Amino acid sequence: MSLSERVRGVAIKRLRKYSVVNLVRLACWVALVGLAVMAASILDPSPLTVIFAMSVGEAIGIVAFLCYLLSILMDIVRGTDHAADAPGPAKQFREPEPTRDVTGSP
Amino acid sequence: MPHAGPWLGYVALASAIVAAAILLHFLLKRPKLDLRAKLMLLLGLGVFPTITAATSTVAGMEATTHREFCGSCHTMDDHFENATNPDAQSLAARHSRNPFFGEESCYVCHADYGMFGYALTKMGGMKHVYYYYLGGYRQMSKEEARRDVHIAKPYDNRNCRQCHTTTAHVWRSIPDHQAAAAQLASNKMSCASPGCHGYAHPFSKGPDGLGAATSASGHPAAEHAP
Repeated sequence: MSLSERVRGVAIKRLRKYSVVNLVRLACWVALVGLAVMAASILDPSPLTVIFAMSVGEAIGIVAFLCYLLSILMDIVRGTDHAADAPGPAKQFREPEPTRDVTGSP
Repeated sequence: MPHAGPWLGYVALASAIVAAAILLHFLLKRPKLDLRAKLMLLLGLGVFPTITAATSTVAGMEATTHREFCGSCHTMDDHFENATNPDAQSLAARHSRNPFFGEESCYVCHADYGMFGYALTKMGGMKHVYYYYLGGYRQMSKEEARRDVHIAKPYDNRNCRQCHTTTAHVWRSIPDHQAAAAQLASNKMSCASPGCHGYAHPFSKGPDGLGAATSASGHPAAEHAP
């Protein structure tokens, strides 16, 4: 296995390890902070709030959007082996589900 | 910069509220992360915050041109009070009463003009913020500020000539203007000097000179009156 394949494998495993849903939730909280900072500069346009909104506020917003894009990327990488609303590892990394006896034998 | 008006602030707030509503709905209701939810999140995390950022930036930049913004630092209290005093007769006060200058009289007179004028003015403004919060100006008393805080560079006559073109017949017919035309053009003599139109902010010029004759309120200062 070449180095690039190994790196790619490690990256995919890491991406799968973290939940898409959790990352999206993180993006939402971060975006709320950014929106609050930007809104504060409108409500109270003092030098510090305006400068803070134009620098830190917008940077926070960009981080939130990048988190969202990363979650989309993770979702694409995970593919169909991971239910969209199921936090936790992908199917292939989970404990095997107990098998049911479908024959009906006692 | 064109006047965007207060509606831009309303747009910024409205888009922020819509984005926050989408995000809070996702965080509190925890809907299934299907295509519909993802598209809603694209609006809540991408589209509406982008609108908020863009409009709040323009609104914020415009807010920095308002006289209240300049007067929000206590070192500018005297200047603000003088400019807004309807009885004051200083150059700054008279110009501030002119509707063309309106609520942005500080900016209109002190802005750099030309292609990069707006950016240069804002960079200069950042220096003011730095000096105020990190350079010790914030701790200054008003008396210290009046004594120690001065304009960063000599006032450029070109700013006056944005309105007073100096090409009209009336201007050229005044003998003093004719005599000083070269010095005015080269900025060696200021339009706002004691022998000419007087200081723009005379109260800030100390006890000597014409500035001493006027207090911040615009009325003759008793302690300096002859």
